[in-house]
Amino acid sequence: MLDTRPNLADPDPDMSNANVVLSTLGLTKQFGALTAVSDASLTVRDGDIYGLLGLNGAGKTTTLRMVLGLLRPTGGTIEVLGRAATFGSPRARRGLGAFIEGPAAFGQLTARENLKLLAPLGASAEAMGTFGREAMDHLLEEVGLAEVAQRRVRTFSLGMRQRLGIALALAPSPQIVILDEPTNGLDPRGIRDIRELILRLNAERGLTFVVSSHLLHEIENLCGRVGIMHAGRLVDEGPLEDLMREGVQTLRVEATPRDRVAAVLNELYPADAWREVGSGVEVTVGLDAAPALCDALVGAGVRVSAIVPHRPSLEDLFIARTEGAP
Amino acid sequence: MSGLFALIRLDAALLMRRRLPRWIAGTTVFAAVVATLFSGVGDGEGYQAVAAAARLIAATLVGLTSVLGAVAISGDAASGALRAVMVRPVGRPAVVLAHAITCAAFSVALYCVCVSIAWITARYAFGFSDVMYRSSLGVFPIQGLEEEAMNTLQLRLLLLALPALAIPPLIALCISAVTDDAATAVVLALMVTLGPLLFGLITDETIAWLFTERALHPLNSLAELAKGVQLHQDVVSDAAYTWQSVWQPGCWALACVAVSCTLFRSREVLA
Repeated sequence: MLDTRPNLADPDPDMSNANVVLSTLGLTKQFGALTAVSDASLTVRDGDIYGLLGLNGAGKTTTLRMVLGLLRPTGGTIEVLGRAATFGSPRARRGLGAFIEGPAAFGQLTARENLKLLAPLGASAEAMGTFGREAMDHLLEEVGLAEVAQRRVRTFSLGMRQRLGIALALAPSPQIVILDEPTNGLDPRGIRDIRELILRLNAERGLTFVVSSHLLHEIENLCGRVGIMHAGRLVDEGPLEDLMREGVQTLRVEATPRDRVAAVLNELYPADAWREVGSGVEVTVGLDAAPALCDALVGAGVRVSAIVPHRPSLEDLFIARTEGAP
Repeated sequence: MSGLFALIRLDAALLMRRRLPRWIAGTTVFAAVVATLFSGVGDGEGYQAVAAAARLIAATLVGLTSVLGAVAISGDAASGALRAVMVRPVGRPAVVLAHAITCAAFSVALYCVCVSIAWITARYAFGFSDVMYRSSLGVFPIQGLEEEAMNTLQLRLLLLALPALAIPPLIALCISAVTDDAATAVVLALMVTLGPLLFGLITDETIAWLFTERALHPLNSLAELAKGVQLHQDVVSDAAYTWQSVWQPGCWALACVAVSCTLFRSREVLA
């Protein structure tokens, strides 16, 4: 697998607004009494693979629909590539490619015809100039549809439609690609192919991606920056590595005898800082506390088999951010 | 390539591929042939057969093309395909305009094809000859319109019905612009477009500015003339009559497109 995750850490926080290509400020959407999105302010920078995380119904798709002009925001503003993107202003959304809420294509047309007829919609002459037959074939090949390009889309499986949806989002030449649950319905190989395609396009062409998903593993493998949505609110946002670093870090200690281990831990830390887990104990302290803990245990005559630092996964982070949120 | 042209190209491709337009075309052509062959006219009375067929074609088109207009946007919205268009940077008025142009062009083209088929069928099945005016007693026919004059008049009256036949799909498009429910859109569109026809049939009243009247009046006049009923020929040959057959449907078309654009402009794409 390619290891090209971009922007793993923000190199210069002071320049954070310098290369923002997509941002929302106080974005809100209400459906009657239901507030689907509340005061969401997200920032996507040039070259990001930005992961929008959240449970079903968290407001991810509604947010992206507003960004794409499919829904009218109740409040807040959207800016795309430096232009204010109000509802009903298509030109402001030039440069966006999108695949949202499942594959959308015309079943009566073939995959190639869908690309040929949909790609020119609203595209500049310059963009279409580089999107000839060869480019179309190449794109179909990249998403794994070259062999079925002449088949009508209504005969496609869900996975094939999904691939076509991604191809449509990439045609003719967007600067920002919004993918809403892009791996839904794909087999494991398809998931890997799409992940590698995103990483490659990001690395080679510098395309910015906004990927929404509830599949934490996918986001963890793909994205450099994430935003976590919960109950319509953006509860956290930032470089994935920074967020993970902020998470609760623990040491797993395998040592005997247990009573002596407990005595040492009680002496060093508050009672709620450690707990027995299986054959060992889990101590909630910073990873840099490992040498001191090891010395204390050995000094107390404890036989230490292992002290393993445990960094939080994205899942841990996600649970921590969403459990306490309203 | 301009957005509107690209949208028209997409809509035209979909018209060619979808079953509904094919069914509409097939049904109308069938109606044209059947109406011509079973018009009950004799040798040399082909004009009557053409007039009968044209009236049936017009009535069929009013109903069926309104179905086409009704599903133009709502059908795509219901299937989710509308998203494929709307996530692209295209103007909403352009989306509506493209649908309006393709639906109206389809209706007009289909009318032309069907009338041509009816004419050819009548030509070979019955032939055309001079129309004899009938006396008030209907017994002693007198020389009326010569074949050449009747041919000109027939073409003129058939063409005058054309602009109004572009209106039913445009009216239906207004409904399609506000709902994701294609079935509801179809029912409402049929009520709105066939309503005036049924109203006219039941009450025998005519409302001159209605699009159905503008479509059927020239064809009814043709039928009367073909039967040898003496009409005020100068009325239907008058430039004012021609102008009326153009500007009134033109106003209808502009109003329908404006209403559709306004309604679709504020519509959210939920499906």
